[in-house]
Amino acid sequence: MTSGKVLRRLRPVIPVALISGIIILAAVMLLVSKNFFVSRLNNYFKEVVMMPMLASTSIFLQDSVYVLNMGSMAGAVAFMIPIFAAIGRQLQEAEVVSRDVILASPLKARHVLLGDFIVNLIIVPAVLIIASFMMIPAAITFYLTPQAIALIFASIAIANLSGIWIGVMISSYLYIRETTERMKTLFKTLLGVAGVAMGIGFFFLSSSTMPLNLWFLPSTWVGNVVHFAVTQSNIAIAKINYLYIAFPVYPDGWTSLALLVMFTFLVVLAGVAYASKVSFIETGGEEVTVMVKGENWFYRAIRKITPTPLNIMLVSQLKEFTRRMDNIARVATVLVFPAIIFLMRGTMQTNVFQGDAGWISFFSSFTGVYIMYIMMAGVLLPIMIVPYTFVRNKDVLWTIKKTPAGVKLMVHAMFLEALILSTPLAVISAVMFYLALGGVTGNPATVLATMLFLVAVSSAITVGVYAWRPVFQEREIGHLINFLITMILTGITTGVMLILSVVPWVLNLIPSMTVLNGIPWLPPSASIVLAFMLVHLEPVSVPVRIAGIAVSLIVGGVAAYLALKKGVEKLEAYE
Amino acid sequence: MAIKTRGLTKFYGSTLGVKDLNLEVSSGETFGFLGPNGSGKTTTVRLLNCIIKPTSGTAKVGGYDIVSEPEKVKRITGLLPETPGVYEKLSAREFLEFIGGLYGVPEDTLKRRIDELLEFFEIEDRGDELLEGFSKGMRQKVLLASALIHDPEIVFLDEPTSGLDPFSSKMVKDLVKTLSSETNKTFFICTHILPLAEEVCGRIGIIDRGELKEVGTPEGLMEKYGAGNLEEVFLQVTGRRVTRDMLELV
Repeated sequence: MTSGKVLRRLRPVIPVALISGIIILAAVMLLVSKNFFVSRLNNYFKEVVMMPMLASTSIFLQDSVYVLNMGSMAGAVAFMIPIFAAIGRQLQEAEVVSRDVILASPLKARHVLLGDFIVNLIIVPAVLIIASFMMIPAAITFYLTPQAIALIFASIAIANLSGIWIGVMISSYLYIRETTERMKTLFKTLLGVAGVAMGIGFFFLSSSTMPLNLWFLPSTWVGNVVHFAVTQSNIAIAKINYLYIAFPVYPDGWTSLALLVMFTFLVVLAGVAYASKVSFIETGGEEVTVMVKGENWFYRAIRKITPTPLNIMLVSQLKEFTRRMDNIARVATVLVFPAIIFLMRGTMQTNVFQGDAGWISFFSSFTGVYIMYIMMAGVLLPIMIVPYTFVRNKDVLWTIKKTPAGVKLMVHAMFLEALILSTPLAVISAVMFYLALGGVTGNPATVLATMLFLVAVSSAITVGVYAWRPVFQEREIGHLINFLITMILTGITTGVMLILSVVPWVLNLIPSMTVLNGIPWLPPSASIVLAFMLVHLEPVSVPVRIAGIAVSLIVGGVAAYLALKKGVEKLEAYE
Repeated sequence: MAIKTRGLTKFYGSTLGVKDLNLEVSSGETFGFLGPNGSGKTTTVRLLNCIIKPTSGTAKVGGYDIVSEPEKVKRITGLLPETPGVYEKLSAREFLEFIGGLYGVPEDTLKRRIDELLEFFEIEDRGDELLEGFSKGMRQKVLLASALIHDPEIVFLDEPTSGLDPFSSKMVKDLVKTLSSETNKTFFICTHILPLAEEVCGRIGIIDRGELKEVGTPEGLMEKYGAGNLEEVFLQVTGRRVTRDMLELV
């Protein structure tokens, strides 16, 4: 039933955009390489603005650890993304029906697998685009020839191809084995942990001054090839506290490329052997009936504490969330973040922060990380939970909308649910972080209270965003858009709150560091010590601190109230 | 008058849902709303249940305005939606408690009513099973129970026998007949299963492309169109017919 219908031809937008993206990024990498205008700009600054001594040092020695680390990270992304995607796709059971249709055709299993592989090749340009972004800083610093860019892209694409082939194999194996719910949960948890670990790895590697020496990993081989392509050398240079240390890249660039090609060749051979034996006829249904036995003390307590009918909605929402094993796996994944930070502490202390001012550097870095962590926890905990507390399809929303005040109750229940689920996670995370960093964190009670308030505010904002822009299917792109909107809104709000309340002295960092960075004749360690002292000795009066906390609470409260109110209004009007 | 619409119109952007709908359904009546897929039946039901808002026009349900008094309308109506939307990780009993609670049914009454409905729909032995394990027909039964949990005056059934086996379909027909004869409930049944309408509805309306084409008793309409059954009336009103050319294409 339409009028004024607009007809449009379906165009292959995505492949065209991806291929164009690679070409554009390759061009950007070439343009920003030193041989073009950036080199002129660099030379101008070095010769005219900066001191001649520093300029001459920088010309001959260039820190190349970033290239090694980002190359390895790009290799890991290229290798792991198709595997993640393949497992995730199988666990979602999104394509079971379509595969049944394919299997009903006279195609052989190896044709189906080959088809899967070809379809997944669309990941290659996407990965190359991601890798290009990671490599742009290297392109700015080093001279990149078209051959170097081609070598970088080739090594990443080769790693990507082996990842895709392994992903297809794993996916078909999971399909044939008809994995149980428990297995699926385990896989999902592992995926989540791997994803978080990669994210944290990226964060630390991007700022690390030393490479990871894991020579046996394909991602390291990619890193070594990329390093060779960028620097045209198998000697890496690390810059630690104004000292340049040279060390050989192992295995060297060409050996790494050979290893990468051999590895991919072996993976393909193994896959072909597997495809010739595999058969899909083993699939069968697993029927499980789950019975519910009364309500536990937790739900009974919620029913008593919260008013009716909000308690009815809240308890039902909580049951719907907590009875899904994948949600429990997600919640568990959140705790991986502080745990990894905890484990990485030792490595960071010995490898990264060396030299005379090592302890100061370690101290200030972790203060920064800690502040960032509180913000991230405040923002991320609700984002990781709220999308899965939302109704799973429109039909359920219609059922809720049919009841009197159903939408308002649902939004408020989602907010309370996010709070209930996030609070223990926030407490555990804060305690783990406190144990890892000890005295750096300041008063733990204050920090915990702040974190809980941040979680409350960001829960309200995230719920408001989801009510404003409902997304029903788990794999929809809408989640990404909501994630970005929420990150921006919550990041701004919680950032302002944090600066105003907990660490007003952090504002002193900005002028102190800026001033000190402009005094290059001070000894390196002295400048850091002086910065630290200036930052901490700057007095912050009690009334200012109290006013900061008060304004912070008001900012958070108003943001939370507006988010929920507007969310209810939009969802009530949703059609 | 249970339902009264005047010029009720709904557009989704530039797409027409329902246009200028003028309809009256009396209290206690069982009204069949027939139409092909995409004709505007579900849009009408969503409008009358205050799930969506009209672009123009008005309607009163149970004497309450659907735009200015939506909460009052929702309290006196029950809805079986076309596609079942349930919380899959709740048991049938928990789901009925959930819906009944949202309609404000007192706790004691709610427990008794849930037992009655589970027994009536012959699912009392599966009341504590999670809904995710239910077949489509079983879910339909739970949703029917949820539509009746708060004892509404007006019941909207959108494709009530969709996905049900013949036995369950008969049960739904019997339920509608029994409730309409023994109580003063009004039934508004959307369907394209014509024998169902013929059997249980006192009056029917035929909607096509968003516009109401005909209203009358099944007998009256058959007489008007010189048809032997409601199917022929339906095809004539909607202008659709299965031709030999179409059959040859299959």
